[in-house]
Amino acid sequence: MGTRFELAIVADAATDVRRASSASAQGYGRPPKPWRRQSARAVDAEAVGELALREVEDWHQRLTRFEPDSWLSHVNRTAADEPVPLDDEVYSLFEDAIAVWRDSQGAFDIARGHGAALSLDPGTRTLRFLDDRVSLDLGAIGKGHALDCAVRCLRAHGVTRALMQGGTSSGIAMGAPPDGTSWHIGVSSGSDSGEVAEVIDLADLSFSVSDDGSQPDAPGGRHIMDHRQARGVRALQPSRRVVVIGPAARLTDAWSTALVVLGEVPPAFPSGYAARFVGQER
Amino acid sequence: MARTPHDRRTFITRTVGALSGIALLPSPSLLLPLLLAQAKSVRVAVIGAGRQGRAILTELQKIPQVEVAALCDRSAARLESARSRAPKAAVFQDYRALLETSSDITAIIVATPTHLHRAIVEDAIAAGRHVFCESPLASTVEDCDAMVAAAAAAKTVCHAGFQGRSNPTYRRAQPLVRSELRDLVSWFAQSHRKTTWRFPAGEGETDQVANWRLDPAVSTGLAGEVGAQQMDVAAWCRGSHPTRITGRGGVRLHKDGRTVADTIEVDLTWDDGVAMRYQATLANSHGGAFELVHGINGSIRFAWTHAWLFKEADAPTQGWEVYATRQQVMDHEGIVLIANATQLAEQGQLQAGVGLPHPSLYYALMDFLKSVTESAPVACSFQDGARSSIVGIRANQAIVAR
Repeated sequence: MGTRFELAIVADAATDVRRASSASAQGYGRPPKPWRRQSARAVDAEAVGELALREVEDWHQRLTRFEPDSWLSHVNRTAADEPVPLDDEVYSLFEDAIAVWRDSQGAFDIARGHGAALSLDPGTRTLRFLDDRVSLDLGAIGKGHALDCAVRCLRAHGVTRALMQGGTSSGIAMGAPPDGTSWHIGVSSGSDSGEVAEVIDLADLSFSVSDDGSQPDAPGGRHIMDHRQARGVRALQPSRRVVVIGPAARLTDAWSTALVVLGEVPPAFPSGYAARFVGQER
Repeated sequence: MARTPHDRRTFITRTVGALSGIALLPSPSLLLPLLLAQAKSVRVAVIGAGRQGRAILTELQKIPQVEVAALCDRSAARLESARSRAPKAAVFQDYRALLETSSDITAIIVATPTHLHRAIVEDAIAAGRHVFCESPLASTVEDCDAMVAAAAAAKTVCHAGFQGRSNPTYRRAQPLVRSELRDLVSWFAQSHRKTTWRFPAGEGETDQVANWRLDPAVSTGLAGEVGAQQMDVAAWCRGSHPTRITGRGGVRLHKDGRTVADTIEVDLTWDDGVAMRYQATLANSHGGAFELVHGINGSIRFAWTHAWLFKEADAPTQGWEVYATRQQVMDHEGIVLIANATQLAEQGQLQAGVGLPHPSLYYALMDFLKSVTESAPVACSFQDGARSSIVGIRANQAIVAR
């Protein structure tokens, strides 16, 4: 299954909101109407958008577990036998993933039930599996990391206002749109009608939404697993739907997954981040 | 400079769903990480830190015996980005300074814009370094000829980055083009990928420099930058290059003032009359990249991590087919050609979609490093690489002339 990423960049004039491109992990599609071209800057916006979406594609190719020739598949094949060297970016990503695993008491686990068997060595900056049953799935935190990297790319090229989302469940609001002080993000109730349950206003923040909705193709019929119990998250009445807001999309993504499993915000939830169970006061 | 874009899953679904076939997989040893047999360490420098340069760094990270000791790019931003994948590397913005000051670096990997290859390669060879140069080798026939001459005089390894020749699946399938298909009927190849080819200029960089692929003065267009890789597969399998090339193209989607075609069709013909149609576009992604060859006894579809043989009903059965493992793939039963299939099945490897454990780029780099450390034969010489580069250049010229 591919995740579709979409990006809107606010270019120069107040009314000149341009749709840069869209991408999915399986291939790249573009909305039917491309760009108006009224200035050199508009072309720059398209070029910057292309670069940002290529960043997403690059990270997908490295971090997917579904392609045997990805870097992550290489790690899954070798890290039980020998330490795998990590570059600075990936080392930092694994540090965050392990921290969320620890702080969520294992509710979020990229090692799918074997989080305790991940060993990061800060001296050699390597990763090793202490159990040969470990197989990593970066899932949510990988998608959030790709969003963070894409937005960093946008900033490096002078973009200050943009909205980027991945899989309609995670996104980053850069700055604000021309006609306001924040981006308005509607959070669906999860019902078949697509009713908007809440609207959150964001500026220079990331957001992630997770729920325990069913997914027939997933193990146990649930797309979020409680690896502590080795089963899908039990459906609750009403179902859990949680929004996490904070500076880094990779952490909002990881924590929204963890909170769906936990059902409450643990004491170790990081400062600078906020969580809200949709339709419930927590 | 071309990566080989693939839409593998789409291809797998469409191909396997259409016919039952024989999946051509490499031996199980290739499903494990390849290591330099003698465990000799080698210090390398990567010149060019754009997307392809960073892809190269990702593959080099998998090889413990390789130390990326230096990076070079004119752009400080690209250097910074690349350095995150090689934090111990010294950084240079002028490749000549790198060659002069880093005498302990034995191998140079060139991943700059195509038209800049020649000067860097010639200087690296003159400095006594082993050289891996991305494909296509150069943007002009003159530059290709000069690089071949430099390589001929070199005492070091000169490896052209045409990846099909190093891809284990392609190596498995290549001899079957002759032995199984017999007389060829036709050859088709495509690269479909929806993208703009337009990127923002970095600090201190002009738009023309940043978007060299869209500059008709230096670009070899889709035919050269992407097509040369796939045209080389045909030349390698056939053992010769086409002698007649026609082409056409235009801007179908990206009407931003560019003159370099975003969609092309090229017809290549060999002396024996066999013809190849090549299509490439930046306006559509359907089907990704693949090559399809038809012979009187069957067809082979190459898809970079996979290759399948589909036999005609009246083709003779070969002895090795009897021992091939049968596998239900999608709605069809195919025959998997792979040694120790039972063992792999126990490991859960025999399932739909299983493919090579590394991208083709990894195998090309491994071949280069084996030539450097073990004196292994060069998988793609500059002479072979230049020929396929020139096919791409001529195809682009045919498109532009029309």
